[in-house]
Amino acid sequence: MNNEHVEKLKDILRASLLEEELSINADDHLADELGLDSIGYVDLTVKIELTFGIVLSNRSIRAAKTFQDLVNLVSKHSANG
Amino acid sequence: MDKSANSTGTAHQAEKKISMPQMCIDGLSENWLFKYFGANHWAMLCSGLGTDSTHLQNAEGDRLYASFVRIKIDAEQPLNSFKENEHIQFNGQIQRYGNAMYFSNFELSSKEEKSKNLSAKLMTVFSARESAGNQKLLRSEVKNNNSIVKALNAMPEFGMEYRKIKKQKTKQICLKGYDFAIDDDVVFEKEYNLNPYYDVNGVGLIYFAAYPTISDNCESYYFNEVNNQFDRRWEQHYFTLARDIMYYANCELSDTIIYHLNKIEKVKRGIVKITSSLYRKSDKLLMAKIFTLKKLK
Repeated sequence: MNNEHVEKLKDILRASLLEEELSINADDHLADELGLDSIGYVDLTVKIELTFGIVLSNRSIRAAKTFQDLVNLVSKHSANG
Repeated sequence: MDKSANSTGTAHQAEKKISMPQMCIDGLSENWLFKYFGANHWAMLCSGLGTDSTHLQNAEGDRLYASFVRIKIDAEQPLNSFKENEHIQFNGQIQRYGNAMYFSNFELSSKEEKSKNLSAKLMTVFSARESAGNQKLLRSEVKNNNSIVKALNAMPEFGMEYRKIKKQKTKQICLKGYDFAIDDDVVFEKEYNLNPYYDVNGVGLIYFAAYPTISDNCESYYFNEVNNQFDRRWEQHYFTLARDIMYYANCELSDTIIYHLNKIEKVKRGIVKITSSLYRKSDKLLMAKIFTLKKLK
């Protein structure tokens, strides 16, 4: 996943968090530190599908604890697709 | 009684005659109305997925429930204006955002008097029980989603507003042109003991339609017993004109609900704004915020 895609993923995550200006680091915990709630996860799943064209299950996206985990998950599915 | 009812994956049409089951004091029952909207939201959702509600499952094989997270009704005239034997026409449609969130809209109008109409918006998210109880419902999604319900490319404003309120990104909502401040002031507090015969749905959860009834029950206690300004009961004077409910949690049947009357404000033409909240007694978790406009008869 190149930098452009990582930045795009950050933008998507900010939108799902309703925090347009938030600074996001690789090791930030999506739920505990960034405050991604249950509907936020649902929204993030849809936004990733619409932006990257990959379908992630709610279970797999919830298994991604940090932003880096999320990058890895999207990268893996993009490569497989 | 139920004439030309028709629910497809995306639409619902029906005509009903208002009889006793659809009524409560002096008019249309809000509780019945909520149940009707809720049942047909589920019917359209299930029809779109080509299954029935008992077979909604996630990838782990857990039973899924389309849990209501927000419902808003907005009437031109209060519910007591709808009378016995009047015919009402329902039109509804549903759309989805992703595989887990569904949004329906309903229009209700009197066949006899077109000015008597009401609109409703409902939002659900699939959830599954994390354990045997009702304390924790986890958001989930259907296995093998093949819904024919129209998919949206962005979350509707109705859902965005719910999220902003939950995350405290907004401090007020507007209902029928009236602004409600969202705060935690407490004018009156009352405990409510759940009535399993009435408050619980077929899968053992507190029914979404019971939340406003619980709120009304405690609210009427306040106006009848604590701050009585009428010669008759509060329920005989004021009737729902509009209501907006944000749902945040369910609870065990053994738990008790704490009702907070947050604010009452009389506004023009006999209309009163009421803000209330429901909490679980066991852990003080917020279960719902309820914004209501009632009109004097």
